[in-house]
Amino acid sequence: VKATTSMSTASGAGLCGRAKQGPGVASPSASNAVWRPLPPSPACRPACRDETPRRPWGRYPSVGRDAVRPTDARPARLACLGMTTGGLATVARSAVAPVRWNGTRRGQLGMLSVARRSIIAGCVLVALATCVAGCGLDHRLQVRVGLEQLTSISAEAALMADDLMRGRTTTTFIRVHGNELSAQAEHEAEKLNDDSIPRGLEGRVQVAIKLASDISGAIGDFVTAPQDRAGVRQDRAKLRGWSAQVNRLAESI
Amino acid sequence: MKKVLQLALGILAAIGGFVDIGELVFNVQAGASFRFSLLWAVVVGVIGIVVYAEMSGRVAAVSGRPVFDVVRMRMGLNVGLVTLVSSLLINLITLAAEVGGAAIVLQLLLNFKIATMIVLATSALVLIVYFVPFDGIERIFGYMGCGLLIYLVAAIHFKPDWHHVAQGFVPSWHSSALYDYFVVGVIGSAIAPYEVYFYSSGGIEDRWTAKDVNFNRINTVLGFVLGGVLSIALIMVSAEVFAPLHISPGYLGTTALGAERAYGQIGLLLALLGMLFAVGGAAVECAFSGAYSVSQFAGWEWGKYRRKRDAPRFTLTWMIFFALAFGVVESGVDPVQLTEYAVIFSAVALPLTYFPILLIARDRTYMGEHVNSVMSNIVGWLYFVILLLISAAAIPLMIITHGGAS
Repeated sequence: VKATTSMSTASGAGLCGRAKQGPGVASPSASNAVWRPLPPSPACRPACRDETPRRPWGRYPSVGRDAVRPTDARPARLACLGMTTGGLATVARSAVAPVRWNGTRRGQLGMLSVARRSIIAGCVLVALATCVAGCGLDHRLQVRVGLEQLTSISAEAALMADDLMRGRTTTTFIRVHGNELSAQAEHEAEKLNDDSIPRGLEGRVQVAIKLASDISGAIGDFVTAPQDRAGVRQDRAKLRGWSAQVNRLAESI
Repeated sequence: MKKVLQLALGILAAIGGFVDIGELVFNVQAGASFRFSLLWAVVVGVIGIVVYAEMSGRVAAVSGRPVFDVVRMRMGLNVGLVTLVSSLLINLITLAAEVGGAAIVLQLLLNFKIATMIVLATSALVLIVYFVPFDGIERIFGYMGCGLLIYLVAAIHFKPDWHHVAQGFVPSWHSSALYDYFVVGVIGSAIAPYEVYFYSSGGIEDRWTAKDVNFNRINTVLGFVLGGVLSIALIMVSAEVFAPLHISPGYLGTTALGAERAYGQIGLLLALLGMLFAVGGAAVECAFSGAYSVSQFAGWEWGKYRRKRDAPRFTLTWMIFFALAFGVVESGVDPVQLTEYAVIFSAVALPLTYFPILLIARDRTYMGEHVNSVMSNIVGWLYFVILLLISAAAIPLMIITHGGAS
């Protein structure tokens, strides 16, 4: 009863205005005319009697709190949209169904709706962007990026070792984050090893692979025995040195 | 007292929404790569989110209509459907990144296997959302997320060169695609659409009326500016700690290391707890945003304030979102990588979200006396142009820089 009351008092707000366009067809020129509602049910008609002139973007006459709230509008909407059973599935089916423009024979064009084309185009764009962004670095640049990664890992591990030595961190953090860095250093070594080496960089890449393994090993050492302060001090010094060395290599490319 | 409590909505939106995994990743990387020179991009992003969140909150307060209802009503079915599908995809990617981020932070705190932590993080979030009322969720994540304030203290602790910091607030252009990529990333992560979906729907959950228009204004300005200050602090800490050593932060652990360098174990624990609740809060916002969007678009009953049996499809939708995100993260995708994609793709969808809000908020017929002022209209249109530029540039920059790799 409450729903019927709110429906009948609603002054055509929300989507009901669209039902005026009549069932089954829509003008392609109107901005929101692509909607093709099913014929409104008799129960819905009072709410759909929107006589307000509509501007291109649509003009909804209800102002402020008199506007129909989404939840209040629900029964009217459902009836107007023919969504009594299908919910969103109906909306989606309706949107992806072939458009029949005015003045054409039934089924003559069978073209995709704007929404479906936009969604497909968007998905294709996103997939392409993801693929293109994720690969395609030129080999020389790839080596340089790998070396920069190693510089970063080594320097960060040196910071962690420094905090560990001064008792300013937790063993749990050192173990978890140290393992991440160590695994990443190994991964960089594998990448450098597997990728084709650009001419003139063979020596530098070999040095980098050796350094990557050393960095990974040093991180593994202090992750395994964080209480060995003397060992951690040595690891810190080595990691700092390697970071500077790999950075020089990267800058030379 | 009630008003003070309601400010928690702003704090949740600021910490849990503004400072999410996108901020933690992009801002820290931006600081490490370009020191202070991207601080201005945070300011641009913060003003943008304040302007549009204020408009969406005002529309929600005056009319009782949240953003997606407005999108559906103003833009029609087809454009609305495109906006819905794109926002749902972005929401899902973002939610997966947030859940993965929460799992990583839990692992840094507890040292269990990441797969176990993903199960723990997802279960905890679902249980909290299911059993705790809306204002309780606000308080849990809003207040606990304040642990991130450690970055603000740390930024000052490192005694930065304030002259250089001030220079960072002046927009500067570099002839580097990577710089432009980070500009898009920093602004995009600040002005993420899901924040506005959540904020406006949250206003309706909190039963705002036209009397709350001023409260909404204070809420957006205070909340998002607080979030912006934290973003600036993240950039400053990164610029001080990581940039001189050529560290390129690619892990959430690296972000925590910044606080550890300043305050040792206390700094580390506060940073990790703050990150856990900020990322967790953002995950809740994302899941709700997805459920709000679908429900509002389809005309279903929605709202956390309703009993579950009164809004069953809304409840089911956010649960499905969590389940899908769980599946994505358990598949082994790197949450940090996922975050970068989420931010860039959400930048592409920005105009679709914000244009209808601007149209409604400037419509006197609809908003009555609470219509946009001249200044709001000018700033709104100016930002709409900025959003168009960001949207157009996002994908090409991602391709040119290979996702920020070079």
